Amino acid sequence: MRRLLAFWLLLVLGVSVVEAKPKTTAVAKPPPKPKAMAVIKPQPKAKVTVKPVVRSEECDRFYRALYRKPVINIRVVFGYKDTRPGRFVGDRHERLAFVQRILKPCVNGQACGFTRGPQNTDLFIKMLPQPNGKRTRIQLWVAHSAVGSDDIENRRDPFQNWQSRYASDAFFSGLTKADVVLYNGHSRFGGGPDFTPPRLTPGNGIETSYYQDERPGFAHAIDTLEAEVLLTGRAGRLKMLGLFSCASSQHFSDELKKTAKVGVLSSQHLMYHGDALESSLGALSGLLERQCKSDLANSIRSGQPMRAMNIEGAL
Amino acid sequence: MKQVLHVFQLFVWVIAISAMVEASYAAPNWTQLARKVGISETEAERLQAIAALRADTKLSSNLIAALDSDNRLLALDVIVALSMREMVPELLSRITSDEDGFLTLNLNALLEEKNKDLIFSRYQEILKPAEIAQLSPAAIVAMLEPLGRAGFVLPRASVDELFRQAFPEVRAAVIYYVRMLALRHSRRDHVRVLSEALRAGEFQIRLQAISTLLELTRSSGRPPVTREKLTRRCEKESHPKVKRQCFWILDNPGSVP
Repeated sequence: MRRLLAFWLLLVLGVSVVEAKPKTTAVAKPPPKPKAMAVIKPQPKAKVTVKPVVRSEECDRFYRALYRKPVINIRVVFGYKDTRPGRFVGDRHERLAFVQRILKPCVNGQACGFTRGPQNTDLFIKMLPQPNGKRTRIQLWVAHSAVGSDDIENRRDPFQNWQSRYASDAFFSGLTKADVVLYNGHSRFGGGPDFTPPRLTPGNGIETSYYQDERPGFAHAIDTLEAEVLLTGRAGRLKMLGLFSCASSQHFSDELKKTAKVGVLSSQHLMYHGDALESSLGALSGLLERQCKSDLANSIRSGQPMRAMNIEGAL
Repeated sequence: MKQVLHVFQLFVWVIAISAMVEASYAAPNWTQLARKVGISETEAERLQAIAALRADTKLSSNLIAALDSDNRLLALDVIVALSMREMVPELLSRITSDEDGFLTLNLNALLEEKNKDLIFSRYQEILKPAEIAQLSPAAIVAMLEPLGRAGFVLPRASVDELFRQAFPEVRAAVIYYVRMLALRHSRRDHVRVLSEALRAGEFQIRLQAISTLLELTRSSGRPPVTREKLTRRCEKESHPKVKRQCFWILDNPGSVP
């Protein structure tokens, strides 16, 4: 019905446009005669202009600082990804999908071609050639939070305590010891990053008020960043913090900008788990390719329709 | 003649624009709804998306086609959200090409008493030593967990081959499987794997084995090892940080509050 209406509306409009056109047949002019002696000038060849790659000073400064040392430490930490009201917890599997991708030989980009150390399941190494001929060692620590896929079982598993502590340490110590930290997990209503099974209400829902009021993860992150400045008198080693979690721009980025001079990648939208995974890989690849703002923005946007992430404070 | 041509051109434009107008008013397609099933602001919005998907008469065929496309994850989310168990054979037929493990995970979510034998027998079949190489580590990890939870005992040859896999994640999943068999079903068929895990090169595997052995020691009248032996194992750790973590596990055996 709507299609029909639109069709007739446009048809009527179209006909009136035709009627409004001057009747060309009535006033038809003969085509202009070619000037016999006219000098036919050769058409100038279209200039092929290669648009120079514009790299902002800010972008160059960022990468000079990032690649200053022969070793770059990057951490990718998957938070505890429960799917309440379901029992399924996904971060262990998402991490493994991520790991399989970075271990593959490179075809496109740089989130690939890593090798794993023999003594640490979570440490991946890659020697990245630099424009000056030297090679930079990329040390990538990829940690996850859940010991299994079932939230109820995880809560009964003593090893979950260790795993949560381990992931939490990978993230929070990374804020002062790593060059880049990427978090892929829940925002917990502003109380994330979170690496433990969530606190529950008596009705087994997530205790949102706890996360909103106490903001345990974020408060810890801000404290860690502030303490670094206070104790050392300068910003820590961290240059980029990526928060691949739902609405992380609104939840975290303003306060982060006030606290530390670091680049922040964040999302204004809710993030679908598959998109967060692809965006995390895109961010890793983009930073290793020394992409500036617009290219990196392309590398980390995802979803359908494509949704951009925010890049602030760097590049 | 020109006028006729103009009218014809206009007619084509009208058709194109009316189609665009129609598209802008059209109901969201299944992929848009699927995203709302995965992430939505409210539970009401999610339920609305599920209801709209249920009303889509072409949904099954779209989902089957999507399983081999870039929309695979969305299709899997919809299949689980709508409990479309009739899709189990479609999923099982693709399990050996499940690169990221998400298909297997979603298959697990469709497990019920009626289809348990069908799914587990297929898992057992492709976890035979000769078949394992064709599977992705992610798919293996996803398969082992429900098998352990359900108390499904795999043949020794399969478990041994799985524990020889290069991916430490697969070995970690074997430890988890053995733990579930022993703790939830009192089946100690593969507990020997834990001793082997204590000698693993990766410290995470060693710590997981210590935690599991400690748990079995506490929960069983027939402990596989003594606490003293585990303490000695922790003392053997050469790296001070790993040693500290090892003792931390021995001293913090409680579950998550």
